[in-house]
Amino acid sequence: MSTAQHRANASKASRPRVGVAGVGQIPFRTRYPEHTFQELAFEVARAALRDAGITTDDVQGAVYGIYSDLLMRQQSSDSLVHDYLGLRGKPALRISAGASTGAFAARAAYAEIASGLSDVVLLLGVQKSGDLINPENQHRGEGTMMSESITHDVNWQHPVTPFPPAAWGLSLNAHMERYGTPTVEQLAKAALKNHRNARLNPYAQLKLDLTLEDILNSRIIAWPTTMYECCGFAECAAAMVLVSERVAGRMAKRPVWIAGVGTSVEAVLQDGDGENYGRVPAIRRSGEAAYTMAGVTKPREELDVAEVHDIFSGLEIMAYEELGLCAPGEGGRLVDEGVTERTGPLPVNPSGGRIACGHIAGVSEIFSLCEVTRQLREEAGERQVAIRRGRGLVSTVGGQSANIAAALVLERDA
Amino acid sequence: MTTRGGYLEAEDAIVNHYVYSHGGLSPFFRALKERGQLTGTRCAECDTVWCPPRTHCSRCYGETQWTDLSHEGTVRAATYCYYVPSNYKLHEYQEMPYVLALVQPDGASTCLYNIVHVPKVVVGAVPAGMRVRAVFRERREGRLTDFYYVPLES
Ligand SMILES: [Zn+2]
Repeated sequence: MSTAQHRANASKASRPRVGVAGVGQIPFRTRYPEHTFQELAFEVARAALRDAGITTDDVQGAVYGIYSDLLMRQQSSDSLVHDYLGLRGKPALRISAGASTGAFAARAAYAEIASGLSDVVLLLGVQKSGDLINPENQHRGEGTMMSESITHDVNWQHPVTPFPPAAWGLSLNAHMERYGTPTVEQLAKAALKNHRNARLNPYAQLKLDLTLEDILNSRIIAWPTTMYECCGFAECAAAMVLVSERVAGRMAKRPVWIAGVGTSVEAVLQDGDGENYGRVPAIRRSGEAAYTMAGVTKPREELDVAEVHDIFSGLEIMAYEELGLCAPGEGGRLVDEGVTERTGPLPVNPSGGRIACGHIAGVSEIFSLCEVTRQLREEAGERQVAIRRGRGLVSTVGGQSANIAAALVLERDA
Repeated sequence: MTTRGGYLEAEDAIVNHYVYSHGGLSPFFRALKERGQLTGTRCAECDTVWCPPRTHCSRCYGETQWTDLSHEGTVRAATYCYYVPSNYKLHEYQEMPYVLALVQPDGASTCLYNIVHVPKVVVGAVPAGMRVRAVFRERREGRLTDFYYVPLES
């Protein structure tokens, strides 16, 4: 056993285990006009509690992943949700971290339990986003994106790149400058994979029957990214019940353990030609931290499934490289070889990912944790992937230029 | 969950007006507006030249000093933007499509986001490594958009 492996195992043994006891999801939708954010939260909280076989009496506190107050039309919405869920008086914490919000909230919930402060924590992400309009033309997408755009640095990015795909597209172009990959075909193939996977997912927003040509020929948003290679923008909610090992045996289902958690907040892209040029260091660092904690040394062999943030398809391919599934520059080849197809050796985004299953910061990350939990429990229905080693990965990224990232390794007992 | 009798929609607008200060970075925006000059800050301890500027060095916590920067620079990466929602202010000063680039001003340790104007926006028109120079607008407001880049040869 290597020293690093030994150290990883030693730290693993001394750390209290935190398990996922319940998951609750609803589909991503353009809008849920028939429901308030409290009602969406209630729906997934009830589902997660039922899945765990517990009631609100058993919940000792809650951690909320809520990204945007502007999209919500409400500040401090966490306390309103907390009340609606019947958790008044119990501790509540709200986390916001771009499109990694839900995963950062998961880390906080993990720490809440690992520290011994609580044994049962409700982790919940909720976000309205379709209530905004552009009053000039009644266009809801434009209203939403106007609000969303101030995530960009308002002085140094927003005046020249207010629309997220452009700033993020620079990272992809830098990667293509450095490595010559991925090709436009590989970008489209990765998107096609996710669009196909979504067709098998009852929680997916888009179930389009697309061809590679459809994707390549759809409008260019920020070259080389086309419309069908960009994530959607939806409303949704997702919840999980996290428990300590002490009480895990009292839950309705066998827990899936959170074996590793890593987060990283990087600088907004500004290195002209440094080591991080064309790379996504936040994804790399968060992945390395999660792997070290979980004792994962060969992720390509040791993982059965991964959900990564394909905010655009190029980012999924760059994530393969940063997460050690292949060498830098080789991500496109992984797509060509079908490695990450749902039936391949390491399926990535069997849910359909952010491109097709749906996306809204705060919810997507908890949704992905729910997806990997269901995959490891082998209750993912038509989109079930083969579980051999009992380990899965969730990687998320968001922020001003793919600079806020998280990674979690989930594993089930043998 | 069902909503009895269908849902009711209502209109609302949350409008906020700001008068904000650029604080310690005011010299950068004043230089843009008043002198048509690009500036940065140099760390007295480690020599890092920040642009976007910082009053203190985030690498070594040293004090920084203001310095005029060259208006020439090098494109490190570019992307070709074909779509931006119609309600963005960007449309007031920029036609579609446009080239968004990460430009490292000569002498700076970091890069700025800005637009590169080329006669014809086609993919590949602004390759990494391309030398560019800043062009300042006649009417300047003390914003990043007071200038844009053009290829150095033009
Ligand atoms: Zn310094």
